[in-house]
Amino acid sequence: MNFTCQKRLFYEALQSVSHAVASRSTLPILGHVLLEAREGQLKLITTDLEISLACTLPLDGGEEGAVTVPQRIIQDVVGNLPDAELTITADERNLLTVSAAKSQYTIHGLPSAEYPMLPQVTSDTRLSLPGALLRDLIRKTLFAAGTDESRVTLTGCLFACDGQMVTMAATDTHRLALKRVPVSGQIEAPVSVIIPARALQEVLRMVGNSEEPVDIMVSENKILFTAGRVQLISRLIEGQFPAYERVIPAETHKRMVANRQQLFEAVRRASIVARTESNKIVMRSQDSTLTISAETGEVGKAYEEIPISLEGEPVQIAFNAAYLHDVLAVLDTETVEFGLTGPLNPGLIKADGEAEYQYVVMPMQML
Amino acid sequence: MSASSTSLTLDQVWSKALSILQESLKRPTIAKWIPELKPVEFDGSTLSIGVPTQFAKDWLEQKATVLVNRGLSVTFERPIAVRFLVRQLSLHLDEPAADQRTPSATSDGKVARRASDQFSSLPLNPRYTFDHYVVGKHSQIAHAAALSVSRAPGRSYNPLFIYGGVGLGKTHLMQAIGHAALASNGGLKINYVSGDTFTYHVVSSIREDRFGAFREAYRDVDIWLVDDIQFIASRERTESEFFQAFNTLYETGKQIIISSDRPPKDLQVLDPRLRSRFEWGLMVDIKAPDLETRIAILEKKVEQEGVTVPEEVLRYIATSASSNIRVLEGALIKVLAASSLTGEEITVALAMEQLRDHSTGAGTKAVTIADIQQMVIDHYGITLEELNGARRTQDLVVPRQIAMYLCRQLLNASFPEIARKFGGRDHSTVIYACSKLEKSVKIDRQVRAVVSELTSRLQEVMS
Repeated sequence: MNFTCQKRLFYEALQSVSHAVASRSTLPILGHVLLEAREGQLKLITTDLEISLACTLPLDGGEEGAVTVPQRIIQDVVGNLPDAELTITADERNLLTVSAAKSQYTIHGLPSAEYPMLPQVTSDTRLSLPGALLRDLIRKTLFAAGTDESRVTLTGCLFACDGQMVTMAATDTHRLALKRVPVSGQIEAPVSVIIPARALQEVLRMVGNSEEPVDIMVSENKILFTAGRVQLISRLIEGQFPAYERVIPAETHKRMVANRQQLFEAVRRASIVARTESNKIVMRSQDSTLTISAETGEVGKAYEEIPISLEGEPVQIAFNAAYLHDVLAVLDTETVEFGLTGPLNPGLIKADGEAEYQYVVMPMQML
Repeated sequence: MSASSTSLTLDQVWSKALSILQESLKRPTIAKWIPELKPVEFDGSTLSIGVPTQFAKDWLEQKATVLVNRGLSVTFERPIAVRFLVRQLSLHLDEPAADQRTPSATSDGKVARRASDQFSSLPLNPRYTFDHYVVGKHSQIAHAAALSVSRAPGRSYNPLFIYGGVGLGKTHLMQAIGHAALASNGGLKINYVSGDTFTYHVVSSIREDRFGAFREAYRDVDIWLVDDIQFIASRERTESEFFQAFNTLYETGKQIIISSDRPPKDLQVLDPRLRSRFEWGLMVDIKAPDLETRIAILEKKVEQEGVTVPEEVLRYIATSASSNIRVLEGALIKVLAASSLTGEEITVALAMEQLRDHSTGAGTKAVTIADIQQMVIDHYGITLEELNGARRTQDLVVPRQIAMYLCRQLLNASFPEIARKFGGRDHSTVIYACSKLEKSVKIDRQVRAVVSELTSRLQEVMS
């Protein structure tokens, strides 16, 4: 293998695949990046066997070949080289040499044949979403996913598409975040899969602030995201996502509308006191004022007032502050609407003007 | 404390309950819950206490309920019970059974069928009958108990707990009860399940939210045969499901037969109530058979195979092979096979030649990937096609990964070779399986138990 490449481009490519490296695996080769020069392209591949990342760069001539080297080392070496054209070669003893103007590094690699093959995703189920839209879908739901490995189906997000709407949902049994957006274009068959949380975090990173479309291909047990030069392949979580629609309250008798930023800040401050006792904060409405209070034996008391507009009976209810904090942090509207029924019934948070977003949160016992 | 107090207050009862809890919850991890416990209400007979999490609730219910109930009832001289409530309420995601099952059964028969399939009994081995069982001193009592149970299921010894080492015939005896009971009453519903299958059922019903179907499957049983109970031990949810199924069946007079590789007192169960349940009925052990019994077992086997073998050859095999019946029968089969393949007469010399490995322990029998696959499919009651096939349901994936892992660990087979022998998969799948299993063995008692049992069986063959 032999090719030349701009340092900056090569370094960015190495960074873009760095998160699928399994550095502490019992299989040392999973800490490696596979470099493959073929048909005028350089492909960089990493995998931890759960997710795989691949980045493709165009090459100008050179000699074909492949090798794997420790990702950490090569990334550090290349990152610290001056910005210049690099010459990269590998020989049959799996030694990779990186040369810049006056620097030369030779790194011990392993044969490319021992590297796990990049999983192939072949399917007619494809769709394309604008980067910003996909980012919004993930950001507003992923935080509600569960972390309990004994309920694997909740450790990812439901991703469903019927050709008209894309739905993303996540729940940890105490709250549910659901976002639906209309999409244009046709898909072959409706999709409904569970994507692991980690893969979605990687997709967020991969999409960055780009507005470019992201292509998605879904097969029976894998999903492929393509954004520009980078591809991510993840296993899907097997099993049935719970029937989440049933937990969304059809009707709430009381409606509070508050300034999102004010509510967010008040909840965040009160939670400092609530932290030692299950994060419990109590909300009470009096006419056009909402009070938020917390009291714990260990820390002390918190009391906040914010203006609201209220429809229906006065409200008195307790919540886990973290569950409110999480959602208020990702919403970006001026105001939020909080629908409630009783102190033991789920609350429904909507972002004003964002019809397709719903957040259902269960209260705590007032005690 | 006044006993006549008809109007106990929440505070009075709570402060007593709190002191009992403080006394009993001394472990630091648990003690940190105490400030988070809140009295909710007291209605004269029940004290409701708020707890921070579901985990705390489960734990307290298991460890503290009885203690607090007793303490309160004694102190206030009237029956008082505690009830723990989780302060953080949960969404009702888990109750699809009632409103979902009906439509799915009518609109999609497949779904309903699948549900009943998945929790069904494992098949009984037709060879495991009383007729084929050789009774010796080692198994006399176990055999007598089994016979008695098969004649009057639910009315003689319940539960019947059979324990003993690997390959001594626990499964045979247990299944013989099933066969005999069925022969006298074909209408009986018999459910034969191994401890690990039961665990998979619990896990998959959690995953797929199908507890309704699961519980139903295990309530509708007349004779419940639970093999290798040690595999359910130490898994909280599995134990508690088992406990519930056990109680339901026991209370309705259904027969329960349990086998284990160790007596109840040595089972690593989290819930001591489970152990005491096992001890309610009759516990019988099967020991290693003595020489006479080993010869008798071989004679029975020879009779089944329809061949004649000189006595001295049987005696030689019985002395040279170990006390494990499975190995013993294997040794006989090996001699028979050698004779029928080569046409040689069955003599002590032939047996010595064939069993050199068995008797001296020298030389290694070449265990193949196929041997491991066979052992795994026998263990899980699945077929080779299923093991090597493409289906990726949990009940197949785990055995498949275990089999691949054993091939790698014990045979040091290459990833591509394993991949080829498991239905021509690509070798990344095998790498994944092995690394997954390596992790599971560390964190999952269940998997560890299966792996270590199969490993020791294979090593027995290999040594």
